[in-house]
Order: sequence, then C-alpha cells, then structure tokens
Amino acid sequence: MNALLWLLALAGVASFLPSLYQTGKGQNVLLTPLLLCLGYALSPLGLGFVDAAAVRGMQPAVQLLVTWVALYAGIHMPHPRLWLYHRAFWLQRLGKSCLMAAWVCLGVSALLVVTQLLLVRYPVTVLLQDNTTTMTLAWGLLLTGSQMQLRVWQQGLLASAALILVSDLTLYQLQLLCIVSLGCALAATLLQRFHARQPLCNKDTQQRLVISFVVFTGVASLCAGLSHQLDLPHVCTGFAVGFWLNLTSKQPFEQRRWVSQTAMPAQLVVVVLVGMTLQIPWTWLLWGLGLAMVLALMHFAKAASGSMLHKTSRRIFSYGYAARSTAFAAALLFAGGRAHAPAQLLLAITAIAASVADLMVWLLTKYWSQNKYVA
Amino acid sequence: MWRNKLLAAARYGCVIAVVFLVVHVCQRALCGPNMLSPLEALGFVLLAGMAMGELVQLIGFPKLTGYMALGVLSGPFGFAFFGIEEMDSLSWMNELAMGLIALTAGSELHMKQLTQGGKSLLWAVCGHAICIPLVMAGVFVALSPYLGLPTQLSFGAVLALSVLWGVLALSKAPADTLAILKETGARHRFAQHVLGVVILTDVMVLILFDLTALFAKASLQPHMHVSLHHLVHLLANLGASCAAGISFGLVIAAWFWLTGDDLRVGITFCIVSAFVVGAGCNYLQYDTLLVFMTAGFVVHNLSGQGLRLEHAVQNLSFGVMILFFATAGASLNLKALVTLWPFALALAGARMLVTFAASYWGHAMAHDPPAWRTRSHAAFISQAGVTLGMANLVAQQLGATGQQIALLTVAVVGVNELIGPVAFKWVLVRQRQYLT
Repeated sequence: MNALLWLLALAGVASFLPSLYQTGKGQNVLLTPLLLCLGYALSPLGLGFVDAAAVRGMQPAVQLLVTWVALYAGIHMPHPRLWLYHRAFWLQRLGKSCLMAAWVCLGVSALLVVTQLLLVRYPVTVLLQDNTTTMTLAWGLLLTGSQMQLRVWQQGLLASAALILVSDLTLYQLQLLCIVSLGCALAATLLQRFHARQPLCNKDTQQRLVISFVVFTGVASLCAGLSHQLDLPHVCTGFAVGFWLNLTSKQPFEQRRWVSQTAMPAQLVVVVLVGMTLQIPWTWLLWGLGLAMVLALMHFAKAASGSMLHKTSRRIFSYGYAARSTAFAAALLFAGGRAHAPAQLLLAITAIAASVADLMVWLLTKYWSQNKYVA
Repeated sequence: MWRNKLLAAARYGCVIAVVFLVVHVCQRALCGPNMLSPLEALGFVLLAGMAMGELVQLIGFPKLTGYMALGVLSGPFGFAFFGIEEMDSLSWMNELAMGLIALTAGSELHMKQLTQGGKSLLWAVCGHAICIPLVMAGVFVALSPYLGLPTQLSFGAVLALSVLWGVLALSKAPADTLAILKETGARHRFAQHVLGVVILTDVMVLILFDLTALFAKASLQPHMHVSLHHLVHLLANLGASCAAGISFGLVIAAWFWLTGDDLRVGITFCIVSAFVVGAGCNYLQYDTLLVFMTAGFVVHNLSGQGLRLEHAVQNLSFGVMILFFATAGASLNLKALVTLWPFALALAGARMLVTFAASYWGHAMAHDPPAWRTRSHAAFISQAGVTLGMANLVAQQLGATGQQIALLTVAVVGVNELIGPVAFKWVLVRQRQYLT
C-alpha cells in the first residue's frame, strides 16, 4: 500500500512534466537531475521517507515501466520499408554515421579501460557471468552518441538485447521469448488493427488514444510478468514486441504517435525510481563524477571547436537525453531481473553524467539564447 | 455487413486464443499449474477482456457481459489462471474503479433534471424503497428454513435478517447502468431518469444497510443492544461522509479550474485523488461511495468544471471498467451458484417480479408514459459491486450466518448479472422508439 501510494504520487508529479519537458526551454531540462535527486532523497539511503520494503514493493511497477520503455524503443526502430525505399537517405546518413562511429569507438574504448580498471580495483566475482561488457558498450554508445540520442539508444538496446540473448539465454528460453513476444505483438496488432489500412477507423482520435493506452499497458504488463516468471530479460521481450509491432504495422507513424503520447510519464517515473535504487559509495561517486566531467568537457569542446556558431549545434545535447539515458541504464540494471554490482556502478555513473550533461545543456542554451549570432 | 462482422469476430477470437495460448504455454514451461502473477493477470485481463467485450458486442450483448465472462472463465472457479490471492492484489484497482464510478454517477445527477423530473424520480424511488424490501423480506422469511441458516435462530433474528436481505435486494448497479448507457450512447430523458433512480436508491441503500446490519448483528448477539448512541454514531458518520464529499468536490473543482484542459494532468489527478481519498475513507470508516457521489454532484452542479471531470473520467474508465467487471466475474462463486441454484433462482425471480411491480406502480403514480411503466424495470435488475461489497461486510460482521447470506447474495447477483445488463441493453436499443 505504501509503495502504491508513493508510486501514485510520483505518477502525479510526472504527469505535469511532459508538457514542461517538451517546451525546449533550458531551465526545464534540469528536471531530470531534480527527479533523480528527489528519488535519492526519498530513498532509504537518503532521508528515508520511503523504506526498503516500499522500494521492493515498487519492483513490479519498475518492471512494467522498463518494459514499456523498451517497447517504446522497439516501436521507434526505423521501419524496414525505409531501408528498402529510401536508400539515398541512408547513404546520406552513412557519412555522419562514420563520424559518429569514431566518437563511439573512442568513448567505448575509454569506458572499457576505465571499467576494467575499476573492476581490477574492486574485483567482482560475478563479472564472468553477467553482461557487463554489454552494459559498458551500451553505456558508451549512450554517452558518446547524444547527438542522435533516440537512434543510439535503440542501437544500445538492440546490442544489449542481442548480447543478452547470446550470453545469458538457453535455446529453450529463446523459444519462450519468441513465443511471448510474438504472441503479445500479434494480440496488440489484431486489437488495434495496425495491419489494416485504416486502424480503428470507426473511432475518433481520443478513443484511439485510450484504446492504444490500454493495449500497450496490457502488452507491457503481460510481457513483464511472463518474463519475470520465466526468468527472461524483460527488456529484450519488450523490445522484441515493439520491433514486431513496428514490422507488421502498416501505419508505423500513427502507431509511434500514439505510443509517444503515453511513454514520457513512464520514463520520468523510472528516473525517480532509479534515484531511489541508487547505492553510491563515495569512491564510486568520485570516479563517476570525474569521468562524467571529462565526458561533459569532451562534449563542450566538440561543440565549441567547429560549430559553435551554428544554430543547430545546440542540438548536440538533445533535450530529454538524460531522462532517456537514465531510463535505459535502469533497463540494463533490471535486465532479466538481475541486479549486479557493476550494473549499480554503471547506473550511478550514468545518473551523474546525465545530471552534468543536463546542467551543460542549461548553460549552453542560456548562452546561445543571448548570442547575437543565433536568430 | 455479415462478412465484416464475421471477420471482426474472427479477429477478436484470435486475440483471445493467442493470449490464452501464450499464457498456457508459459504455465506449461514452468512445469505445473502456476497461477499468474498480478502483473501477468493485469495484462491478461486487459488484452483478453477487451477482445471478449468487443466479441460479445458483435452478437448484441453488452460489453460488460464479455468482461465478466472472461473473469468467470479465467478466475479461481473457471480455468484458475489466477487465484484468490492474485485477485486480492488487484483489489486496489477495484476500490479505484468503485470510486471513479461513484464520482461519475454523482456527476450525472443534474440539478436541473432532478427538479424537472423530480416527481417521476420521487415516485419511482418510493415504489422501489417500499415494495422491494417488504416483499423480499417476506420471501426470505418463507424460504428461511431451506436456506441453510443455523436452526437455533429465533424468529426475531430471522426477521432482522430478512429485513437486511430486503435492503440488499433493493440495491442496484450504477456501474452497469453507466456502462450500458455509455455503450449505447443513450442520453435521452428516460436514460437520465433510470440513472437517477439507480443512484438515489443506492444512496438510500447505503444508509439503510448500516441501520439494518446493526439490528441484525444485535439480534444475533444477545449481549449486544442497539442504543441511541449507535444511531447517533451512524448519523454522524453519514454527515461526515457528506461533508468529506463536499470538500473533495471543491478540491476537484479547484484543481480543474487551476490546471485547465490538460487531459493528462486531469486523468492522473483523478487516479491519485480517488485512491488517496478511498484509502482515507477506509481509515476514517466513512462511506466511500457516498463521499465520491457527493463530490461528483458538487463538481457538476456547484462549479463549472463538470465537463472537464467527465472528460477525464471517461478517458480513464475504459481500462478501469474492464478490470472491474473481470475481477467481479472472477469473484463470483460458481460453487455457491451450483449448490444454491434453486433458491438463487427463486429469490432472483421474486426480485425481478417485485421490481417490475414497483416500477409499474411508481411510474403510474407519477403519470409517466406507459412505455416507462412496462419497460423501466429492465434497468433495475442488475446488481454488482455495491451488492457484493455489502455481502462481504455481512460475512465479516455476522459470522457463520452472515457467510451463508453472503453466499446466497453472490449466487443471486450472479443470476441478476447474467440477465440484467442484457435486458437493459435490449430495452434501450430495441424499444428506443417507445421511450423517447
């Protein structure tokens, strides 16, 4: 009951935020670190308003929200028809992708080295059994690829899902994952008629939104629950359902529009819940803070070096990046229902880095808004 | 047209089959008949319930019959996909649903319509409040030797229990009425009238139930005496509930006035406030339904924010209704229906007859159109959440006798719930020309 009340209160707070969050004003971006701090302050390690039992009681909600976020990422994957019909578009993107890859490689290499160093310093026996490498890779993708955050986020999830599948699951579990994801995707497709040319054609927009909300809630909760019982990584299941939905849909854009309107509150609640589950020893905090500062300075240098005067450079730090990256880190933390020490470390560092990045956005936006070179 | 209907039926049938299959395969994978976890149960009920509702609507039944059928099939007395414990873990959703339904019901009571159709409303409510408790109490006394009640009960105790039964029989189902009115889109005078009767009767039932339960308890426990103190406490409780409802209504109105038309904020506020106020009412032992109904009435009639509230609750009610009726279906004790079916049928049949007579008499006294006299009873057959909630209270308060009465109530509610919604929808759709 206590957990439920807290969750409802958080949902109440989160319902206010999307409208503020999407305005694109710098001061609003600071909501992410604020939410993280709020979560940490409420947690048993903070001021202790929420006890450990309540945090444990929220785990089903965390699973549900994380699955929802993964579903959202899967639905937003580029539709295969785009690959076929718009080759020129993808070729044009190739050059930029190469540049991005360079940054990604640099970031990932640095992170791998640092993580290995940390793990040598603090040996963790679970290292060989979990997907630390995956997390490191995905984290690197996230932190170095903030320019196209959603795409990088999807790539991170995809990489993570693939590596979890390869490293953690048996063939039997893989079959079960396919059955669950295909079944849920099929049910959602049939209910919403995404395979038809005019989905839910006899309903008005509001009704469609309500139906979509119910269907996606149902799919996410069924996925999360079944994955938990079968010991499958619910991130993978959710992502696979989203991907299948996207693949079989004739109206991917309409589908994305509907799911987008309901996804942001889930992400923001996840951010607060992540704040509640943070366990940051001081040594890790120092490491994380230092690394986050280095990364933030790298971003700042990149922004300041060549394209500072260009109007679009402000998009280097896309709004909402911190929320999404933290939600993603949470997804990794709770992947398969297993929370490992390295994952805690990565989550802590990501949270700090996200906060620093948001602060940077605020400063840069404030600077640029007063810059005479920018209209 | 038939081709389209068949295709749609096949599509929804496929959804149900797929969801059942996925759940079944996963249960087999776990090597045993494991129950679904609350999270799985939530997903299962939302997906399969939505498909079931659409499916039964295609053959002319109300959607809520489909939701309830799914609950019965997958509940502990059906395929046992989820058990009593899992249902208990979703009980907060039921409380939330009851709160929202009561809020909507209160907001549907328009002062203007109450004053314009006041005479019809008054006579209809009087007809029900006089005829149904009296006749049903008599039927209960007549059948009492066969209902499995303890043999050592005195005649006074049987009489007190029969009056309690009469009050239980008087209760209606605002949730069913609202769901069917929404589904059929009926907003004419007759629709508003039956909704008004259902709500006012249920408010009366809430008051009478406390009183009769108190007397029944006193008759079963020799050491307990009903004193003026008890009655004053009851009255104070009702007054406090009304005051809390008015305050809650003013808070809702202020909130919507401050936040404007932001639907997302409105929906979240409704969920959060319904849950928090419901928990507060349980803690303070206020009458939750009365609080929410009063709040809805205040928002709609004493402030200009009624439409915003209605809009928010309407958007929320789709998923909530599925969960509410599916869990109500799952909680129907089919074993009780199997063992008590002759008495359940007799009591339900008697209630239907007396409901018809009461409706006819009340509308005749108010000089309402003839169609209202002969057809309005269909709206008053259903019984659902309120009655089941009162049956639970009876079981808790009156020991073994109360449990037997609760079982009987559940069995009668099962029969009424099978017939009531279908009959009401049939009247609204097929007899529309006579009613408007």
